[in-house]
Amino acid sequence: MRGSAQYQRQLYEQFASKMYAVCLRYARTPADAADILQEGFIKVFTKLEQYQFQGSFEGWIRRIMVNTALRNYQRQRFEFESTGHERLPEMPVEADAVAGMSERELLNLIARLPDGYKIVFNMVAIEGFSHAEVADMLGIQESTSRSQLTKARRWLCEQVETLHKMPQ
Amino acid sequence: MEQYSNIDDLLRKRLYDAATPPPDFVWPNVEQALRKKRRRFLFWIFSAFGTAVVTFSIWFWLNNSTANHRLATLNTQPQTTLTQTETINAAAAADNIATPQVTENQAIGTPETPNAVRSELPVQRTRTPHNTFQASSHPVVYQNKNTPEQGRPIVSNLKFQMPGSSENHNSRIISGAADPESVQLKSIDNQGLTTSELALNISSASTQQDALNTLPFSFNPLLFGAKLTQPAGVPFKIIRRKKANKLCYDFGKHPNVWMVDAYAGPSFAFKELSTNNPEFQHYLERRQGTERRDWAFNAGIRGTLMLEQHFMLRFGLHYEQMTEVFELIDPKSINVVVNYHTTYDANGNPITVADTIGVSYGEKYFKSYNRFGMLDIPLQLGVELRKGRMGFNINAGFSFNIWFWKQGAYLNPAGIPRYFTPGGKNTTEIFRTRTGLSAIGSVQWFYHVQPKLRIFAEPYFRQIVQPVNLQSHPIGQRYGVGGIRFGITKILD
Repeated sequence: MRGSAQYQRQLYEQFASKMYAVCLRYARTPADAADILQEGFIKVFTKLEQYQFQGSFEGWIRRIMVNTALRNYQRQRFEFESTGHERLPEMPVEADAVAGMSERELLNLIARLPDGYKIVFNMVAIEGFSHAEVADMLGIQESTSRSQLTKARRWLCEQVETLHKMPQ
Repeated sequence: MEQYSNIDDLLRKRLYDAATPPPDFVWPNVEQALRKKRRRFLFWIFSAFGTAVVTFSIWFWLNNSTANHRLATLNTQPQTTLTQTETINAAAAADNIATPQVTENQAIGTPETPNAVRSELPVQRTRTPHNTFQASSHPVVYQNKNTPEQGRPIVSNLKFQMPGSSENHNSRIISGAADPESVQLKSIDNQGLTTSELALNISSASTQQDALNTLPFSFNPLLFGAKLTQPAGVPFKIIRRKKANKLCYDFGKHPNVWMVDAYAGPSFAFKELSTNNPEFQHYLERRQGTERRDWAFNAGIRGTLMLEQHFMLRFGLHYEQMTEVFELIDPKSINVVVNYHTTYDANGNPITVADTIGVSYGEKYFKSYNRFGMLDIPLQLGVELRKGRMGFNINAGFSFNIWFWKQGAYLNPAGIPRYFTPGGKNTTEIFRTRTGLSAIGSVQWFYHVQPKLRIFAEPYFRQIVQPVNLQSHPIGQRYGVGGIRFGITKILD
């Protein structure tokens, strides 16, 4: 498949939409997301022989996209907001409020998160990484990862509630 | 009913498998990047191969030159101790001794065959009663150029077989450039052995040391893998040599021969856009901004007539491809879809109704690989210089285009991408049918792998004299092509 343009195209078409959604969650802008998607698929095709057939192929591609997004951020030297070790209570949110929003609106919502919040929230809450893994991948303390996640949750809940209460 | 839940779970359920179609331009970019990586990989492979060939060739050249210099030094050393009447060259004796095993005797080291020496090692000699014998008892092998001259070393090939071994050893021996004591052969001595007797001695020797002691000359046993300790003294030098320069074609004997080449290699086009009309200056800049060159290739066959060893007349059939990438990104594109309905009234007159069914705004992306293929008949004159198995030639001349095909797209003066492929739908032809005359220059480096077979690498440059576009097009488009040809040459003799 590595050398076949036809199969590469098929693979791209099969996974591009899902992976673009992943990239949108991590990127600052849609243009950044397109760059990450492009760079990620180039890595997929050039490192295809490294796939060990352990776990799902989609998961392997997703991991590449996430890593590419993280490298993209690191290149841009983003910095986490300095935080303490406070543990904020988890905010409940109405399920109907989220259900009433489209995927695009939810992606836009996450895109508006500050960079530090966004990355940690995406990695922990959506992708399912542990705080230890996030700390290792981002080179931060685990406590920093936890506090970023907590703040991200609070910010998102506030935004969802606000949007839900807005007149249609 | 209101349900409260963790926002993590809610968003994970909605977003983990979310899908959003990516922009259309991503895949072409991925495809192009992969193509570039492949080309880069091939480029490095070619480069590594070329570097290896050049390195080996330089090493071989230098090694050959060193050997020639060494032999020349030997040839010019003043030696006065040997005379034909009272001595026989030890190498000749060696050949005679080994006569039953000798399959080839060729004296070199004379000016006719200067490239004789490959390597040399000092030889230590062990004197035994068998070391001397009567010269006249040997059939003389060296008569003409092999005849030992006073003060000149003799070089000979010797195929030698050690006792107890069936393996043949090829060796080259230079003799005569040694101290007189060790080479002067006396009259009938205490043993008075003849050639056959000496050969018998060798074959009947029980050990390698015994066999060495049998010889009337000394040689380096290390050349034969023997582990012997011998006393000091360097009377002779034995030079092992694989083969002479038999892989060189003798152009001296055949100064006028035909040769045929086949070659292929990468090439790169250099484009120059120009206009004399200031009104089209902006358009020219947009053309330059949307078109970029890319790697292509060349291939061909060529016949060569060698004249007087060094001059060449060359002609053939050469195919050249030029590749460019046309890429246009319009961030403020407006696409209007209009549907035309044609009906007829009672009188049969057509009534066309235009119905705008959609307007889309956004970024427009257009990309095309523009390819130009040219088939030419080149005619060149060249000069060739050779040394050993290698050499180079310089060629210059013209080529006449006989076929010019093109496909791709360009930005027209209105800022709209248009195809220029002849024969296609909605195409605008802007290029000439033939490219006309081109000037070509090249430098070829070659290496003889066989007497009549060469491999070569040939960087070249070609300039198309006239612009390739039609005169009606406001932008002049000229091309030069640089590249390298890798190929083989067969000498037809």
